[in-house]
Amino acid sequence: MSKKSNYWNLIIEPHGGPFNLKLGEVWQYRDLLEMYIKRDIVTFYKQTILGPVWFLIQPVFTTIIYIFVFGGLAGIPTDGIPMALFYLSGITLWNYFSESLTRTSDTFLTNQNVFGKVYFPRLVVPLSITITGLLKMLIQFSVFIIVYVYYVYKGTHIVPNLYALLLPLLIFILAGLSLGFGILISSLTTKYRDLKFLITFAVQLWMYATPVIYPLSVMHGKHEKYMWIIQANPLTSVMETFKYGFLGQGTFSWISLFYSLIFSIVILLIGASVFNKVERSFMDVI
Amino acid sequence: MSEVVIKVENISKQYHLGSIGTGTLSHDLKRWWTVNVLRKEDPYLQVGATNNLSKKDDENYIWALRDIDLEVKQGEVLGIIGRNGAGKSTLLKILSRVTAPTTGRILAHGRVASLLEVGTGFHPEMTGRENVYMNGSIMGMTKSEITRKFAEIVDFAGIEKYIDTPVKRYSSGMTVRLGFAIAAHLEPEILVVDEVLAVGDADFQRKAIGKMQSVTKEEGRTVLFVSHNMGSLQRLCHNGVLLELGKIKFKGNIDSTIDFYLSKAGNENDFIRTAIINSPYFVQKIQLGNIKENGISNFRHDEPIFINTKVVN
Repeated sequence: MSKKSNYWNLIIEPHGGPFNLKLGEVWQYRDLLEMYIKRDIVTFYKQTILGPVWFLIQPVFTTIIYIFVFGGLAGIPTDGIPMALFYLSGITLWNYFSESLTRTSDTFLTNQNVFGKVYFPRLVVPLSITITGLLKMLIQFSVFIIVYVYYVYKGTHIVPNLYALLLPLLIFILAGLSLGFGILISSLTTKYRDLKFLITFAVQLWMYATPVIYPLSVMHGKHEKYMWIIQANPLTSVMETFKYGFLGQGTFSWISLFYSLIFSIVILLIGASVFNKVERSFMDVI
Repeated sequence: MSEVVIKVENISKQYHLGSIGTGTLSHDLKRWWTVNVLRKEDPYLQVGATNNLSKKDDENYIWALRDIDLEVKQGEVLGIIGRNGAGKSTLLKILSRVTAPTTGRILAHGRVASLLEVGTGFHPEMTGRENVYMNGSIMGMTKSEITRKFAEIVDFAGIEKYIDTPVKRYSSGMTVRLGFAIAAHLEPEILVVDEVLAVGDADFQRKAIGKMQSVTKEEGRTVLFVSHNMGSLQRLCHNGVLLELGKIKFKGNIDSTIDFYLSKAGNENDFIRTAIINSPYFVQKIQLGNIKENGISNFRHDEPIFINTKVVN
């Protein structure tokens, strides 16, 4: 039998290639990706009366609480930006990041039943979580826009600038960071679950190391010795660029934005390659 | 003769016994040290007992499969037989890429779909319709394919009335019927099936076997089929493979494989294993044999067969 080398379209071997993102395969399964996204969104509000409105209620309530606790009780300044807008912008971005991160970080644990029975590129699942979160964030963004328009209409001095157009880039960085860290952690927790306990705690701490509830300028003046943590944090520039572009207040620097972008791409590549390596054999150790 | 579409070369699978935790990290470190620093072979691949469920020994690693070689031709329906723990499901898992082999490789030509369970990925909150799309896409169908076959699937499952009701309200029979109906309408070139025909009531089972027969006989699909039901194996398969303790014990056409398996089912090749003793004389044992040995069940067409009867009084 003379066989061309491409006769075998599927080769199952103990170890995959050293570096393979399997994006082609994910593309083949794009319908499945769509189904997962749909399932996530639909099952979220099954058997509720308000339905998708719940997506909007969450950030509104959190903002109200933050205005009361951080703005009122703690008295943290907001750089002259109306508190509602300041917290809302931080919460919308941060919630997207933290939710994508925590949900992708237990991909293997929560999907082991399905993963144990049928093969498809596992990357589809965390990818769908990130995209679902993105859709949710865009819906929540409308709350921000409404409040924004309200303040402009009222005559509050808000000066947006062209940097607001960087929003897609900011979203890309957030998505890349949350997906990259998420799949990396989910790969590491298949065998040793220790990291799982750390992650909720780490995400909480991470929020305080990110200018979500305080502007960067406050940190500059008061806590200079902790500044390196905040500057090393790839989320800092995302938050600050957003506030700078839309609200005209904050710190903007191309260098730190570029740093975040590179950070995001690198962690995404590392995460995806580890994830694809682990998915081959995780069923034996989970 | 038709072409080989699955080629299993030297496949082995090793499992670690006991719970993961104590001792695992030290083994991991030792493995990492030997492979990556000393550049030697994985130390734990040298050890490992065969997978004998009843015997307890000190080995921490066992071979669920050991050096399996197999070729499956286009259009062949291969039945995989074996006792519990023989490695049947492990082989199917490797073929369906749920887990990777420890050594060896498998080459396949064509789309492989695996059916290790029906209704994988069903979400209880979603309606039957939504779940058909969800499960279909998990099995590798595209959206347009599912839409084209949707009516057929629902009809086969016989649940038209409930299709827009959440699956959590279904009876368990309805759920598995819907799951099987979706699976039955997959169109891969190679289908890997693990004991899923035993779902639903007698009526549905007949329907399921009929569907499997039409899939294999009329459409000429290549199928690997694991079952403990010798009847359905005999009806569906051409050839059989008998696994025992992770190794291939016998290969041949389905009838001879089943015969071999059944004759091996007891400890010896006895045709009478339990006797009702109500007479002073009874036949304790009947065995077939050839010139050389007793208690075998395979004979060449030209050799003499001896029937040995042991009468006890």
